[in-house]
Amino acid sequence: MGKGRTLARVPVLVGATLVSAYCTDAAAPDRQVTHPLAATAAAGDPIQLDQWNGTMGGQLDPLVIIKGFNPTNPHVGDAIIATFFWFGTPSGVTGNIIDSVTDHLTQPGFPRVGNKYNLVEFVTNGNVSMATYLATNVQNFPDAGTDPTEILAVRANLHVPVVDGGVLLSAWIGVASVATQALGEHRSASGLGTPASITGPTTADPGAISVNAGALAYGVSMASPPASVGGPPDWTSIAALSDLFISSDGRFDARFTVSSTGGTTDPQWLWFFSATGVWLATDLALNAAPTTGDLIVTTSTSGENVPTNDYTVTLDGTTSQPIPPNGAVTFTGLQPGNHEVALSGLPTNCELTSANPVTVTIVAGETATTTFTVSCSAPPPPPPPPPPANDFMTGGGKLGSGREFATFGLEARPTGGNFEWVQHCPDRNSTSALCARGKFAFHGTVTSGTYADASRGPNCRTWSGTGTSKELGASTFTVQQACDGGQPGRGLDYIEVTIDSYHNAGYLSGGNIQLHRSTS
Amino acid sequence: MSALVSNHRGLVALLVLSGGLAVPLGTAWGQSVAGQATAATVNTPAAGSQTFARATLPSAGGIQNSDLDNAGVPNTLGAAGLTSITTGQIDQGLVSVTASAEAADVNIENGLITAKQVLALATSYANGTTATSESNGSTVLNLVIAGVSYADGAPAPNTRVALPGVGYVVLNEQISSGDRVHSTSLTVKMIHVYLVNSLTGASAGEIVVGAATSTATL
Repeated sequence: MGKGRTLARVPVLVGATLVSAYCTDAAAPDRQVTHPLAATAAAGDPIQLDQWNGTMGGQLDPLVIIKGFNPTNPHVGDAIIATFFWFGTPSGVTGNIIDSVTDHLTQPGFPRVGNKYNLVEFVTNGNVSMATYLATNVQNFPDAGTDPTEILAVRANLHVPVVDGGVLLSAWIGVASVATQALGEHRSASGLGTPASITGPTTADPGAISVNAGALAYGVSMASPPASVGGPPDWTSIAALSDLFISSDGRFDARFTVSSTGGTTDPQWLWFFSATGVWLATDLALNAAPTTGDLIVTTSTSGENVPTNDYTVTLDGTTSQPIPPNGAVTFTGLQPGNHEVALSGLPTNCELTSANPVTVTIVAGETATTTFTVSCSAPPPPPPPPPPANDFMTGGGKLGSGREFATFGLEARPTGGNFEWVQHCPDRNSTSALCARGKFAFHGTVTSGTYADASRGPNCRTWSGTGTSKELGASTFTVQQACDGGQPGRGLDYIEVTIDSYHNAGYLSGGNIQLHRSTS
Repeated sequence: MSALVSNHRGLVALLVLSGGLAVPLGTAWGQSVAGQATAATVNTPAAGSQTFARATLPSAGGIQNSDLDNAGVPNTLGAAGLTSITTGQIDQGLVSVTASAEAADVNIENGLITAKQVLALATSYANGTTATSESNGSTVLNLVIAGVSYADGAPAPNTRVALPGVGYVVLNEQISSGDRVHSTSLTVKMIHVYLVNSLTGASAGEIVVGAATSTATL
């Protein structure tokens, strides 16, 4: 334990720190330390030190090391780093004697709060040990509460009793809420100290760690016996505590820095031992809570003749990436909120079987996913050969019977033509599909080049064009089939027409459609 | 007409065989096509002669149409949605023509005759050996004459109904002509009102709603 090893100047320092202002802390023995103003990161840093507290010395219950955040709780959602120290090898047990770390409220019986603390680093060197735990996104306690009976306390539950130990708690605003995302690189080291008067100060170096931009670097070093210390330059002090309870077993110094650009940091402490001693050091990085999210867009294409060329996926109508027919692309750094994702570039033999576009909600720190499913078929048969140049079609008559019928007239050629269609709906309360838009009289013009053979037979033609009606306004139309089945046209000639969403088809009930293969 | 056509053909054949006249064989003389559709006509001393929505097929064939939202002759005729279409073409082996004339919300002589919809449809074909005309598809919906309702559809051709004090009306009036071999023509007038002076018995004009004529000769 080295209890007898003390530096002459250390008791002065420790004595100053032991002027406790929190003797009523229910979560720790009375031997408390002062709670200096919290060191804070620079304004605007994504991670800020919210609260800290600590204790060194004997515990009322030798099987626990516990400390509360009195007088003020952290904020809900903070990350809490808890570094526990103990001296010697209790009951001859080496290694980490902490079974678990739990948090509690300072009420009678210390009810559990339930946040999960994970071990980050454990380091020991003979008579001194240090274990650092991390909990992220802590919940279920009064946010920044000051009620002495509602203070959040963190406790190490030991499987062997300790005579002397301590803990440093620090709570951090702005750390990523998921532990695996929050915790970055972490290292620990230990070593022997030599008298500074002979060899100069002993350097305690846990090892360099990489730190992401905006991330927190936290470092703590423990020395036994207590000694003067110089912490890593440009790091901000969290606390430096010593223990007078049991002959000044040791002292720790904890510091932090927030990296604006990211990189590597290698904190080092210079311990001015008056005699031989030991040191421990741990550093770790905590990543900032993300402010953006990612999106993975996946395509799944099935069927025949799946294309080999990429489709195009477009985000918010502005950012596009090629995407394989069966593949995925990622959009990163997206602002939280709704984003529109659209897929395009499908060949004519493929069609989307899922919604397009879709709206995806991005949550900071999370990766949203969306999948477009595409079904492909055999490529369409080659277009039929164009009809002979002199081929054209005329006709007129009636389609349908009863009270709802259509009359029409047509003249269609490869170079153009005219198309007249009148849908009759004498009954205003008709519920039929044909009369869903009511009566209309449509006047269309055949678009040059659209006149072609149709699929229904050798005497069938198709064409399309544009037109207007007073009732429907401007519309496009397609005569999918106009077939000359002979004379008379009734019951033999067939026509199928689409005008926007209007569709009608059938054999004529009067009139005639005549295919002319050549003019006289 | 048919005799003249036959004479022309004989002359052409003779000249072709003798080498005296070069005429494309595909352009047979005597081919003709005609179509006319008139949605409504009023011809009375008071109103004069008025025609509403008439379409006449050009002699070379093609398509013609005419639309009119409303037609009105005070105390004589009211109608809406008047449309006439005629299409047809002369072909080497066939002449085909169709004419349709229609009107809605018909009111004749201040409600003496009313109809929701009137459609006259005439179609003619001629292929050189047969010439046929037909009126399939013609119809009248919600026809009421002097308070008497008639079934929807096409009345029997040339159905005559007296209109006391006014004259009479002929429903689905059909006038045919042609030799039915090389030529055919059909005029369909779905409602043809003959106005008669009740004192003198002389004609006082006519009102026609839905008149379609198709003529084909080959």
